[in-house]
Amino acid sequence: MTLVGRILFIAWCSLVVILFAMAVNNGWSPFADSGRGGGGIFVRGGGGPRHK
Amino acid sequence: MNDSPRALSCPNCGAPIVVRAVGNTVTVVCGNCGSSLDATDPDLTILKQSIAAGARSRIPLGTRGFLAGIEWEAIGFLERSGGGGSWQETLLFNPWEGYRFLVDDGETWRLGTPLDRLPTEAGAIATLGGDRFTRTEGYQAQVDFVVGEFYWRVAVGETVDVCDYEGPREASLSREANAAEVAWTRLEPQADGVVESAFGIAPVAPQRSAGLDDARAPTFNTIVAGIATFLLLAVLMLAPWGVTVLDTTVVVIPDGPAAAAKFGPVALDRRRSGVAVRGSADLENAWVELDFALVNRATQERYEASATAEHYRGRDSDGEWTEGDRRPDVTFAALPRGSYDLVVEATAHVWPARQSWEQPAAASEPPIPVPVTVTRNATFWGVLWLALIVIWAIPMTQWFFWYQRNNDE
Repeated sequence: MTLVGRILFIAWCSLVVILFAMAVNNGWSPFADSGRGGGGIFVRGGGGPRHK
Repeated sequence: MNDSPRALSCPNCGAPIVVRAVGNTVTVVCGNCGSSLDATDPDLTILKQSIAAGARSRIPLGTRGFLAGIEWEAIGFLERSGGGGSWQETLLFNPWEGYRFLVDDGETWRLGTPLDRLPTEAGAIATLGGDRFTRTEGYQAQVDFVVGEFYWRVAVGETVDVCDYEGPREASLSREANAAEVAWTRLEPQADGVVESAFGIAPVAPQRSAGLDDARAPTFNTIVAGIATFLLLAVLMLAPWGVTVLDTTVVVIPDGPAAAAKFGPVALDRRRSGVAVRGSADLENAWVELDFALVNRATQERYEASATAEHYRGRDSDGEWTEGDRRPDVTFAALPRGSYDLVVEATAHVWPARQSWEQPAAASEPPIPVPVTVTRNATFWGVLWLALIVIWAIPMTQWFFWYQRNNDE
């Protein structure tokens, strides 16, 4: 792997760690059901078993 | 050295041919057209006519060089294959010392000395001069390319049965047999650069045979991804841990009216907080629909989410089955600092459902208590998994292609 590729990957991992730390610190998640910046992804279905 | 080589011409293509080991050479292969010629015949009778030849030897024929203090001249070159590999052999000649082979398998040069006495064989062990050699493999080798002069009849396609024996100090024995004779050769590995230096040829990077290409393995990225993973876990450990700030219960009657209640306060003291609300119900063949709302007391800003606590059990042709989650939770992301009320609205139903909504619920259906807990600073594991996937996708993809490339090769 080239030096540029290695530097880019280090930068990429650093960015992910920083964004993760920000998300944890703010209690943020793209998978949350509601709140700021979350919700609307999951829709509740009707009751009763789905078993066929 | 032999100072009187014979200069002849190829009867097939007319190219000049020099026989260096006069009196010893039996076969000459024309370097221009590849025809095998009978060196014992003054007219160089064609033994086998060929149209393909080329200078494929790393040591040009006629080149002289000193190995272990003896001057050798390269007079013949063979490419052979067998046993899942291929290699090159250069025949060396010295009029006082006789013949030697330089065997090049792409990684190591080995100097081969034809034996003038037979090793002692006992099963898989061959003993020669006090050294024990152990048989490793047997295979058939064939000549794929040949040029120069040789002390035996040789032509492309010639096959021999080979047995290799490994001995001390990386030395080995090779036993080659055909219908007419058995020949033994002792091979000694040569140190890196010795042969190249002796014959004035450029060293080449060793060819890889079956080994893995470690130089191009994405080891660096794997280490970086490992460090990033450690940092992610460290961030998670250092972050505020989840605290249960509300623990209450809602009672709901199956197929009865919705139960609604407001609880609080739920105090969120950080600038932004993740909150998890869990409702659980110990039920069977029933479900409870839970609508949660966190309402900011100061701003009346409202955050809503829903969940269903449910569990079912039944039997069909495959046997018993169960499904459902009795303890669902909902998550609220990044709620602003403040004091909140939790508003819960719950309705319960049994399964199978009544045939008609006019039909009353069974009198025996007891009320279902639904404990509800609120946790602030909740850990959202989905974010961790997302971060790990985003980091590891690159090195894992690189490993995948690296393994695929190595398998292909």
